[in-house]
Amino acid sequence: MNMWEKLQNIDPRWYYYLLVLVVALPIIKPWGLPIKVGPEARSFYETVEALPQGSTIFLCVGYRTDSVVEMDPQLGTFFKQALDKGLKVIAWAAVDEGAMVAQTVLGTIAEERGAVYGKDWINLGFKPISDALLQKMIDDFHQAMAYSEIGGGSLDSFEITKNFHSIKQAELIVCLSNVTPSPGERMIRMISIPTGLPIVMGTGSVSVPGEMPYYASGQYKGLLAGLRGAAEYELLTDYPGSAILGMDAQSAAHFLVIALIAIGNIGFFLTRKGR
Amino acid sequence: MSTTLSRWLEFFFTISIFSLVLYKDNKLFRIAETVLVGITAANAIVLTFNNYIKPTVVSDIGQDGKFWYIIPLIAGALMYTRFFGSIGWLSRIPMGFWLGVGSAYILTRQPGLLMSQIQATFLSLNTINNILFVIGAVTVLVYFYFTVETSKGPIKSVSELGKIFLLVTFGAAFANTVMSRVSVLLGRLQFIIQDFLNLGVS
Repeated sequence: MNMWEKLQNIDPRWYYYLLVLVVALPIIKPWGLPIKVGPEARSFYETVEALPQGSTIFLCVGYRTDSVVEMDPQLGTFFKQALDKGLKVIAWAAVDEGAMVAQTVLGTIAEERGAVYGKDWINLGFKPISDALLQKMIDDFHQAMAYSEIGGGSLDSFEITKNFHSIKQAELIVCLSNVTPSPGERMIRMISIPTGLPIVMGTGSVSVPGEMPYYASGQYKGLLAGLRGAAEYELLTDYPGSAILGMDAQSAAHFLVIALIAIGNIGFFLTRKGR
Repeated sequence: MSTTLSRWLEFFFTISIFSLVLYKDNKLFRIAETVLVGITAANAIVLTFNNYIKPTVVSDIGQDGKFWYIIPLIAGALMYTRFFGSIGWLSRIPMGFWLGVGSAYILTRQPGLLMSQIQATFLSLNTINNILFVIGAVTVLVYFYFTVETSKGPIKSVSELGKIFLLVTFGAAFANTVMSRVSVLLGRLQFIIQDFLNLGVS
């Protein structure tokens, strides 16, 4: 048995040990690899940055705890940018765990920055996304989101939503999601096209191929693609965080995967030739 | 080292789940897996009750007196008649309604979405990216063109080129999936190394 055949028969657990080691080392001692900002993240940043002070942003949170590594830095950085610019944020969770994960991130940042709940921002909790709900958000926002506020409060009792009767009153939709079907695509179809309300998107890496066509067609005004997009956004806003810290480990893991694919293919062709 | 109960639980379940691939199938993994399934199911039941049933029954009907909301509740309940053979046909009533509403929404709203997508392929052929984009869009459409024979003649070459574009797309999708999975591992290791063991930069 030659070296290539031995490699093909190696216990797969060794690859996992190697992957854990390769990801762990940069976490302990970061290498500081350069991060280049792409046009997608820049457009996202500039769209939010261009809003006048006091504007209202409708935030759709469509990810669960399995995506917090990629999505929490996107959400956190966006919320910091919004609060520091004096923008108001109305958050809504399109998936079951969304309200909880959003509250963890938004609550902490709001407290740090002294943002007032119900005035500067609000978490409207989880209401399952559907075409009918999105249509209702245009026609009668209060009825659409009745009884959903995370603390059980009425929308009339909060300054930020008291006079917010249609989603058309928002200046921008920010959708941060990592589920299929995409809430962003639905919001383009049901809200953005009929009302002209612009939408920017942030998504996990696994959903990027599905979301990219909407950015290319201009239907998303900006796109944050996975942890890489979050790291670029952190750089642009100058709020360095966990995404930038994680990029070294991510790059190291990619290098390992590429090397393993190359070795596997070389081994495959050489052993086939030997036969 | 952090000693809060939640951190210890998080550490315990992370290691338990990892033990399947780093060691072998074992009881710790089974416990963690069962707890995850149980919590997910319980969470779904509570959220469904609090966000669907309670607001409608308690608030809309009970407090606000919107009694006509009982009609959609009954329509929804009819879905369950499929479990009772003789009256199973009743489930077709709400299903037919939802199909009709869904189709109407799609027919009125989907064209706007698609037209923008089609419009986005009308590009000036002045950059390599644009040329590749247009060639890719056209050849992939030819690959999925089923009304003529695409396995011979000049159309075969165009179709084969479309297949190559598709394979590149699948490769990119696979790479993005790897990236996402690595991010999950990264998150867990960040927790263990930075938050739990207080090592490295945080």
